[in-house]
Amino acid sequence: MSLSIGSACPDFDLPGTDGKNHALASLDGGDVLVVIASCNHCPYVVAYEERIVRLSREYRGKGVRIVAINANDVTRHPEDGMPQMILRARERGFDFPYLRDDTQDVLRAFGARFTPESFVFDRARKLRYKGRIDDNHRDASSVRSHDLRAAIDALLNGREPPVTETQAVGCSIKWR
Amino acid sequence: MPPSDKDGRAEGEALAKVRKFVATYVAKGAYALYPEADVVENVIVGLAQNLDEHGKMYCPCAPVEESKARGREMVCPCTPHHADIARQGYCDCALFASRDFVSAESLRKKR
Repeated sequence: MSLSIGSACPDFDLPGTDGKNHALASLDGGDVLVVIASCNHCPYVVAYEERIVRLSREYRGKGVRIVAINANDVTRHPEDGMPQMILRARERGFDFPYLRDDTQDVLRAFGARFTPESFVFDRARKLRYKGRIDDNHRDASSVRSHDLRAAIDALLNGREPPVTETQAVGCSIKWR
Repeated sequence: MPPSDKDGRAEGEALAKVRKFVATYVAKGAYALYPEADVVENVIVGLAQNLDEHGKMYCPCAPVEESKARGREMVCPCTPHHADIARQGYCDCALFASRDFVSAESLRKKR
C-alpha cells in the first residue's frame, strides 16, 4: 500500500553508484528530501532523466536532497543491475545518489508502483507530496503542471504543497 | 492524423485502433483494465504512438528498439503479460489487470 501523506519516510541504507552506502540518516540537513523510484530501462524514466538532473542542480543549493532508488528485478531485467546503473549515472551526469534496492524492501515500504514516481518529504521527513513529476513525460516543453516542483517550492517557502497526491504514470516496478 | 503530443493526448486512426483492440481484449473476459483511468489512458496513447511511428503496438513500458529485436513478443498483448499479471496482478505497462487485483484495489480505496 502506498505511503500516506504525513507518514514518516521509510528508513533505508542502500548502496549507491558512487560506491558508498546512503542511509536516510545520512541525508540530514536538507529542508526537503525527494525520493524518486527509478531505473535504467524504462522509457518514461529515460524521458525524465534530463529533467531530474536539472531539478537536482537547480535545487541543490536551496536545501533540497534528491535520491533515486532502483528496485527492478535484475533476474528479468539485468540492465537494471548495479554495473549498468553506474554507467547510467556517469553517462547522464547524475549529481544525486542513485541507489540499488536489491531486496525491493525499501520501495515496497514506500508503496511505490511506477518508475518514475516521486515522494517529497519535509525537514521532519514526513511525506508531503507523492506522485508524478509533471503532467507530460513525452515533451518537457509542453508541461502545464509542474507538480513536483510546485511541492518543493511550497515546502521551501513554508507553505502546503498545492497538490499532495497525483497519479504517477510510467513503467511498473519489476517486482520479483 | 497521427498521434499528437498536443494537449498530451493522441488523436486519430492509430488511437482509434488501440482503443478498439483494448475494448475487445477486455470484453473477452480474461482480464480487466488496470483500475486507474489516467494510467490506462497514458498506456493507450503510448501504444497508439508506437503503432503510428513504428507500425506495431509495441509496449510503451519497454524501449522500442529492444522490442523490435524481440519480434512479436513485446507487441500488445505482449507475451509476458500473462506471467506479469499472475505474479503482481497487472501487466508491466499497467494496462491489463486481474479481476482479483481490481477488486483488492477497490477495497483498499474504500478503507
